[in-house]
Amino acid sequence: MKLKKIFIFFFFNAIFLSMASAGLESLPVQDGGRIKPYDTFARETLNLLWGKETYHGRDATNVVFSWMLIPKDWDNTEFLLIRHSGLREALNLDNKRLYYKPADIMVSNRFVLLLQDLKNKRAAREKLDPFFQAVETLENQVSAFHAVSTGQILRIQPNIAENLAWKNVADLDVEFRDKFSMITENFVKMISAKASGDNAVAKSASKELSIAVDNYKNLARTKFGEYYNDAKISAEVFYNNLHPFRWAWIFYLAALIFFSIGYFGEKSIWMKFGWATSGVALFFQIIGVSTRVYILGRAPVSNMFETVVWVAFGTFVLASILYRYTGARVLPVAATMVSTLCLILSDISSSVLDESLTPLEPVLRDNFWLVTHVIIIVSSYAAFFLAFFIGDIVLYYFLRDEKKYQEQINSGVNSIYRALQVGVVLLAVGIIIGGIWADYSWGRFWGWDPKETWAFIALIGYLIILHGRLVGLLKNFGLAAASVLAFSLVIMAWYGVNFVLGAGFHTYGFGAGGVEYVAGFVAVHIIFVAYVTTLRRGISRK
Amino acid sequence: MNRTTKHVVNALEKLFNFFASIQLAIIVLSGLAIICAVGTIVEARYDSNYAQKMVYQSPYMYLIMALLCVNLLNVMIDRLPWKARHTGFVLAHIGIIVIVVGALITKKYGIDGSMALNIDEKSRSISLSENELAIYTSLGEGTYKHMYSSTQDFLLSSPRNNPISVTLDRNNFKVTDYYHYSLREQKIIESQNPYDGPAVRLQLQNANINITEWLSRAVTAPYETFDLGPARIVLAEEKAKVQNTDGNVIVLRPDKKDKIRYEIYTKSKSGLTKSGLLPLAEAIDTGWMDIKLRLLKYLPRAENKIKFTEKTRPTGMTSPAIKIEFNDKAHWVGLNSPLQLYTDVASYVVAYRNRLLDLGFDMSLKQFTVGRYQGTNRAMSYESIVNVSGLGERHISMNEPLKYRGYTFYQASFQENDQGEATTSILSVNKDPGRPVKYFGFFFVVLGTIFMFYFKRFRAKLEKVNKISEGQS
Repeated sequence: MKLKKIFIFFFFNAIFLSMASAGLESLPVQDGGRIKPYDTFARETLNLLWGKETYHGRDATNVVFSWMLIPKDWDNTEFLLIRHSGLREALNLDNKRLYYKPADIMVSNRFVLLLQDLKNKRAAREKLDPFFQAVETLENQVSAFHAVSTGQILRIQPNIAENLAWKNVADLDVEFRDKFSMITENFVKMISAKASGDNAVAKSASKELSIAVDNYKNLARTKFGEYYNDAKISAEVFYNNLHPFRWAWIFYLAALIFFSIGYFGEKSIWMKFGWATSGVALFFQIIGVSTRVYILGRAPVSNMFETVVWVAFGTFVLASILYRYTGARVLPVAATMVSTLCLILSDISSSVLDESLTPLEPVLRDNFWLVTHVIIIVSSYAAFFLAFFIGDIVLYYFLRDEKKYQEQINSGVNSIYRALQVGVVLLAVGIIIGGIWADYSWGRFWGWDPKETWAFIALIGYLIILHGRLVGLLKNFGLAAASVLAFSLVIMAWYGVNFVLGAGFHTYGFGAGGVEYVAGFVAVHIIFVAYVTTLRRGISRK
Repeated sequence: MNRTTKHVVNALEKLFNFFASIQLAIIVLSGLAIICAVGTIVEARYDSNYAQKMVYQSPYMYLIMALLCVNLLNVMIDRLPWKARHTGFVLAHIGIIVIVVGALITKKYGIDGSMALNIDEKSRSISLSENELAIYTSLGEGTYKHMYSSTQDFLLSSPRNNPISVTLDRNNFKVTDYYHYSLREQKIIESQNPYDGPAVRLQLQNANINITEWLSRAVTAPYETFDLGPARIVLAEEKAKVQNTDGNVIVLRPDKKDKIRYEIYTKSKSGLTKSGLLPLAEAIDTGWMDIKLRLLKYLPRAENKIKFTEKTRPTGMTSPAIKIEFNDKAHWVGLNSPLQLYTDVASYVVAYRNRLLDLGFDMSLKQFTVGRYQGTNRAMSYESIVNVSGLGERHISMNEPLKYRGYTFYQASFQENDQGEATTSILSVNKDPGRPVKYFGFFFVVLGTIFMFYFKRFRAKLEKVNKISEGQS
């Protein structure tokens, strides 16, 4: 076990060291409780303020650095994103826009009053409603901009003691300041050359900039030793640039199209294309997940983003295994639907599914059983998601002509049943292991925490379905409809507890937003099932 | 057999069939799911303790659990005599009954409490989640005699409807009301009572901090010290000798003419750096960190008035409170904040508090360490080093509990002071005799499910599928 770990570690080290990136983006920064490349810091900060990782085509690394150099200009640039329209109204801002000048916000008396309200709410330890969550976000945006433009938050000079705060740009020691001014100088040179379209100068300035960054790192190394892991920093820059999950969904989407042609059009050759493309998607996904694991040194299932990615992965793997035994072609179709949907969601809704690499809460650290129970439960969600889309497809065949498509319906329902069986076993085992972990580290098997309670409710729902099928209460149509409806319980356990209920101990993955879309998704499916049911009743009455 | 017996047997058989039916199973499971769902919504609106009492431990839950067990037992009896193919079915279903039994044992005999230990402090009792009403009588000189205590659950049985009356030495204590969520507000108001001491409302302010606080002193104390973040404030008598003025200290001395003299001591200069009269509302420069001192209000005699307001929902600041009528005068007592009551001849202490349980051995906190994520205040890990009588020094950390004499001590959380230093370790303590029973149940369920789904069925179907696909090719 240990040996394997060490081996994997060195394997990754070797890969990432070989492509060690130079330049400003690889400058180590201490932020959010860990050492990260400046690249990540810049992307996260720009994302917080502007909502995207690039600003009108300019890299976050450049944009955020320029806040420090020309703060006045940025102060008067409309680039602070305020999503909450109620907040825009409360601040008396022009409600037609989304982006505002930092200067306008900072001088707003209304903002000061709102901050006071927020402070009072925090002091009274009240739960924040969406409006005050928006105020909190704006507070973070404004203070992040202020802290970056004054150099207070960019911590780049290491401390002697490993766990203490590093020194920020504003109070670097003299020698570090000298080296850092070389970085700024070359940065300005590069930017202005780029602006004037002088590519040759820009290129040489960018080279100079890399050398300046290297000189800075070398100075820090001579003073403080190996103060960061070069391979990990490169890995992170690599991860940031690659967007592995974006590539994965693009290939999954292609595979979905191929599989659909193969399945609905009954053309075997397209299935082969499907498998080839989804193999590429899986490859990107594995790269993405394993790079995250390598950088953070922990299992990849500790927040909403990571579980969504894991479900995409688990569904495809499970479908492939089931396909291996049953040969049901509906499996890869439904699986690539799940994978594509999940990965697109994780890519486009960064405000809800936070992709940032963050360290863990104390209870979540260093515990094998904890990680295992989450992985198992999330894998069971993958199985139920698979059954859900197969259910959709089977219902579609019922809608078309249940006699003509008898074969597809039978094989689809068999796949649903199999997926549900796998899901129920995984969920039951996962809940039990979660209980054992809780008992081991808190002394309580079961605390009626909403997250675990809803997982349990979902388990009961699927147990009812399996029992109903076993004694013949649920025929083919019933099972397909039930697998679609029961997935609402999983959505509640997986998403709803964190984003709708918002209570309990499992608050590690909390966020807000997207409720209306998820509710819409659930509602559309309930209506779909009701529609097919009534239609089918009408037909059978005739 | 005559006809009536036949009828009875028939009816019994029908009843048995119903109790062994899948229909009942579906009703029971749906009921269980609904109760759980309601519970999570109640928890989101109120809190976990409220949801447990009102939903998860309600009679409905017990009824559902009983029906579940009856249903499971009957369905197993129905399948008698069992064959090999029933192995998984029987194991899984027995397992569920065993888990329910284990949970009942835990509920009835288990102990679930917590222990808050300050550094270098010793304790031999844990506080349980259930509350009790306790009355002590004062014997003078800080000693008290225990007179009465009883465990009370005012949430389930409110004293508004069932008041609790206790009579001790002809003095009557009557609990007549209860707020499950109440806000305790402390107000300082002017008083004419010569036994009340002075109070000042102060502000300490610079670019980064703004602290406004009421400070008051009992008339019997020559001086009292308050920690206000960047400074220590001492509220003293006019001539009282104040010990320990090291560090950044402000001494305030109200005199007989209702004027206040201030003395400012500075840490870096080790001594008195400034003094004078402190006029109302005027900013005085303290000389440290640009902090300005301002007197906002001064009351020569002030009374501490405590008021409880009922809230419909909890916030982080609410706590339960009871209303006590003592010799027909009403008082409010908050949870774990005892109240002193007087008659002309005696004094009593009334407490509404968490019930304490004697562990039978001492435990003291030697050291508490918090590991933080680099450069932040976010805790990464924490650990208590405790000394247990009869066991010696032991470490307790997150995910690494200590087991001793049937109790298990878990590192739950900690408290820190204003400077961000950890001062108190909070351990969660428990004893669970139902634990092995539940583990057995889990084992059966998992084993049974695997048997059911994977051994026979899967193999049989696989063979079938293989045959079909062979036939096709």
